[in-house]
Amino acid sequence: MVTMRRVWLIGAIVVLCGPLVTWSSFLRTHRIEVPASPTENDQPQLAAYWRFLAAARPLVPHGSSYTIKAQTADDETQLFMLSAGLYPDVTPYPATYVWQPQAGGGSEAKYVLVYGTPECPTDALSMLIVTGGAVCVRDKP
Amino acid sequence: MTIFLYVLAYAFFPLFGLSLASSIDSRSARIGFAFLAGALLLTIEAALFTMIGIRWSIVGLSLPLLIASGIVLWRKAPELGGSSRISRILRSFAALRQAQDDKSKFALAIIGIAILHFALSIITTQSINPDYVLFWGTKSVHFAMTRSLDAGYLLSRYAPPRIDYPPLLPIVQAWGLLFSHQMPWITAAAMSAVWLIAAVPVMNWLTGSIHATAFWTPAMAASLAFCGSGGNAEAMLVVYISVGAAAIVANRTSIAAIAFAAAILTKEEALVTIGAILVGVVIHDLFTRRRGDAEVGRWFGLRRAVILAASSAAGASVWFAFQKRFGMHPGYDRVTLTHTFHWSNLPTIFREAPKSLAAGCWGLSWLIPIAILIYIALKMPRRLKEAIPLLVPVPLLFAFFVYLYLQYESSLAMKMWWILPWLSQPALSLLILAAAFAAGDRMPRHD
Repeated sequence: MVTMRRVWLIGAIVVLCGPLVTWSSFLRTHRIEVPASPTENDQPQLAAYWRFLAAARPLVPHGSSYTIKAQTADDETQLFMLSAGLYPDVTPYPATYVWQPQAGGGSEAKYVLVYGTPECPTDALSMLIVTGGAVCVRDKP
Repeated sequence: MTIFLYVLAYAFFPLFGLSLASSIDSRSARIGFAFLAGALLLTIEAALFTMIGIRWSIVGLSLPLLIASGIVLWRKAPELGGSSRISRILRSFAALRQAQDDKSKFALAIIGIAILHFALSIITTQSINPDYVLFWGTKSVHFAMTRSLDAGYLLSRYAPPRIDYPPLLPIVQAWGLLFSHQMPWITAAAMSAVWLIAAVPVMNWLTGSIHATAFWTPAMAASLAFCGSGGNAEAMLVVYISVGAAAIVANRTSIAAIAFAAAILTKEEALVTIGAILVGVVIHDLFTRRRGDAEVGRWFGLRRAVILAASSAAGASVWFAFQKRFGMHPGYDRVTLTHTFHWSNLPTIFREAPKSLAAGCWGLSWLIPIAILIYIALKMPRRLKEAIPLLVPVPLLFAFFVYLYLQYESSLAMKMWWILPWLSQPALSLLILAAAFAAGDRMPRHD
């Protein structure tokens, strides 16, 4: 039984070599800093979406409405899914939902979150630049 | 402050679950299991509150569970030694501190490093699951905001993905949000490591081997970190399934029943794993009980399997009742089976599977227990008998994976790489536990 105990402990140390290699590789290629998003080091694209939505959040007041515009339907879909956790108290009018364009294209929303190129829709005159894009405001209640 | 309050909320779980953990004689295992059972009780209570129209609040959700734990502790207090009832209850909360030899201290150090690996992998955002930010955490935020298991959100025009997923994880995260009001996204994900911490004393108590537990913990921590299990339900599922399976071999059917009810409320994948384990339980109980056993009866071979199936069904029925109450389709939609088999997938399945079973340590966490089991099978085959409920499900689960993958029409290799690493984690845990029980000296203590 003493031998079996030793086998378990040696086995555990051998298994820990995997994490050791992972960490040595991570520490060689990354700086230790407070992550700007929950997926910063694992999913860079999601992290970029997150940083944009987090930067825009203070500009969209509680109880208002928002839509998201981006270059592709995939961007708009993932941005919308992420935004549900960051904008729970704001009414969503997605331009794209689950890769499908929505009727109205988000025209009902007061705030238009534009990811990527900061270009506002023609009916949104006011624009505020944020990390990763812009927040455009339509002149409606 | 947000982080502190969120973490503080989790300190209530052991208090909530003490009513179900009072029969455990080891204090550390009692606290660990109370944490796991507390999350289950909170989930059931929160779902019932929503079904009868009571909005969640910290006091409203805590009070019934604290009173239940208090009553059980009060009734148990005379069984504990000590001067006054109150002091005896307080002492029962204290962590177990036993004289430990050098090997046990070394084992504890390994366990600590393993858990640190998983926690730091999440905190540094190497292992946070995309599903956490896409729908698990999103649901939690909405549930906390509406102080209910918000069917309106789940059925809304712009619903989140996976509305059929059971509610244990979002409810647990929403509970934290009732305290913190804002979602500390990375901290909430890092709390996945707490489930592993809670499981360690329970596994040690059930297996009777801190050394085997010292292997199980880094193996599961490496796998969970490798699969990016921060913030999603994988850590919870693996822990509940593992505790339940180990409790079966340790003849603690009530512990197993509670763990399986929680597993089924965590992820629907639990259905398949529990089903496979129950096959193992039936085989074990029908064919290996001795004639002289006091409990042998005409239907004893099925008794434990029936109890465990009933508790799992009871867990699922809470979620299905909620779905039915609010007009959702009752059931799980996860697995879509076409029953059209593409036999040409077989070479890809067998070629890609080993890569997906690396588990963050080149597959060593699979190979070492397999080697131990082969050694025991050759030298002491009778020792494998008690581990049958853990051994039988492993090939059954892999047969199910093959059955599943044979029905994939495209991108099989890529999908296997996405899915198999986390789908195979319960099987990995069962294999390690089978080796631990077969190699260990636990049975006399629990019997």
